[in-house]
Amino acid sequence: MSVRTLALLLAFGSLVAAPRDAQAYVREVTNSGLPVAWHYPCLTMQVYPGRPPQILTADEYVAASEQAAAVWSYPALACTDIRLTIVKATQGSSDVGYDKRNVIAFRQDTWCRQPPQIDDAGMAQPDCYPSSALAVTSVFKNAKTGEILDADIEFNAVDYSWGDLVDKPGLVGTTTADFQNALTHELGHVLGLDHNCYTITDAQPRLNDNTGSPEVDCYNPPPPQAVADATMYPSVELGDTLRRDLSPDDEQGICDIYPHRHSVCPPLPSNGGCSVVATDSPDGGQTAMLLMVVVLLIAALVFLRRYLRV
Amino acid sequence: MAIATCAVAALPVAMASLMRAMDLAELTASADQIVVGDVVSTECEWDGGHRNIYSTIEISVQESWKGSPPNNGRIKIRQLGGTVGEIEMTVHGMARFTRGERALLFLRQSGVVGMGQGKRHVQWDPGNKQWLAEAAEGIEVVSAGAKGSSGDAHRSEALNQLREKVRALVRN
Repeated sequence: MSVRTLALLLAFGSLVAAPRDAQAYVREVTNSGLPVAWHYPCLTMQVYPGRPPQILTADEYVAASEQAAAVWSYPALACTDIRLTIVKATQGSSDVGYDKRNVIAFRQDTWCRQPPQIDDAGMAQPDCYPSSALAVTSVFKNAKTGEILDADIEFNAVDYSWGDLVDKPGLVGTTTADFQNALTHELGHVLGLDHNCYTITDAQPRLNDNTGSPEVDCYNPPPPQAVADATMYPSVELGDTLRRDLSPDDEQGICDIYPHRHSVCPPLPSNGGCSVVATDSPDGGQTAMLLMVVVLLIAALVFLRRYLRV
Repeated sequence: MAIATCAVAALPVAMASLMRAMDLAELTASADQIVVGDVVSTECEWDGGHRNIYSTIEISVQESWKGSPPNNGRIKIRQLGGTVGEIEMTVHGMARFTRGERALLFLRQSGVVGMGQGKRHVQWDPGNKQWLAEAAEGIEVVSAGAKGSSGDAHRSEALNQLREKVRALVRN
């Protein structure tokens, strides 16, 4: 074992600890109490890594994003249908908002939402976040159905730096946070998971977890280790890297919301969008493909009938 | 521009943005106005580009701990998030307001300091016959200290006690 490896294990003992126990998970709900979820399992998030100099290269940010997405996705998580695909955006704007485009972006010049808000006079008004915010996640959903429609994550690269604290443990204790760790947690929210425990003003009334029991307290009294170790636990140290890997509760949550149904995600179109062929039957999407062929045949017949009448 | 009465937070909404924990001294120093007030109304509207929903929360000020008290006794807070029609926008980490609730607010330029950290729900404790300021919103807090420790963010505190602390910090 090299000195470097030994240092890594000492610095991140939690990564090599015994497997995390199971407790429960909690789903995010709308204001009217509906659980939220995407209606299709194929999701794309466009990553705008920003520009150098940063601790990691653009490709390394994309790679870390892909790893964070993969732990929530099939096939790494065999019991789910979710396929969260990361696309590196090399052009276009990293604007966030309700545009059916899911964005992961770094803000480097000003820690403000982009594009700026347009006031009634048509003037752009900067809408800035506090420097204490390291990352901000915003989600749009249908209040009546609970369907998640759009999700964006913005990272504060003005006041903090983002790195790979597993690869560079010397950065622990600085203002550098582990990008993959933070993103893995935020992607849990993007997929519809809430924090796995309750803070005093977090929920009125307190939510139930998946077992039907009221969610446990996050802090007072200290929660079971399984809760504190989960990716969806709400409080972490700046140097934390444990959340990169899902706990059994995180996995159970995502697999209950999006159980594996053998859906097929077609290849991404050139614009990085996402389409899906989903089926409940275990035929790998063949039934849905057959339906599409039938629809095309009917359309062709209609066209031919019109053509022959002319 | 569509304006609607906000469907705010009678039921839980996740708070998940990644925040550095701010202690009372930092909250106080960052705020240009600190008040205890009642939520009178909330309204939501799309911005001009129809990309984001904003909430405007009107507060009837009961106590002013820092900054000049408003002339008409009311202030307005504007922040991202809310519901217009069928679309609900959640910005994880933003403070949530319910009409009629009382809150201690650390404000800066008509926004809540540190997103949810600058709002503490205040409620009457009939047992001890005093007002209690509850913990900060359920944000995801990072700290350089032990996991889960973020100062006094997770404990309720008597409002009288908190008032003295804040005023001492303001004086200094």
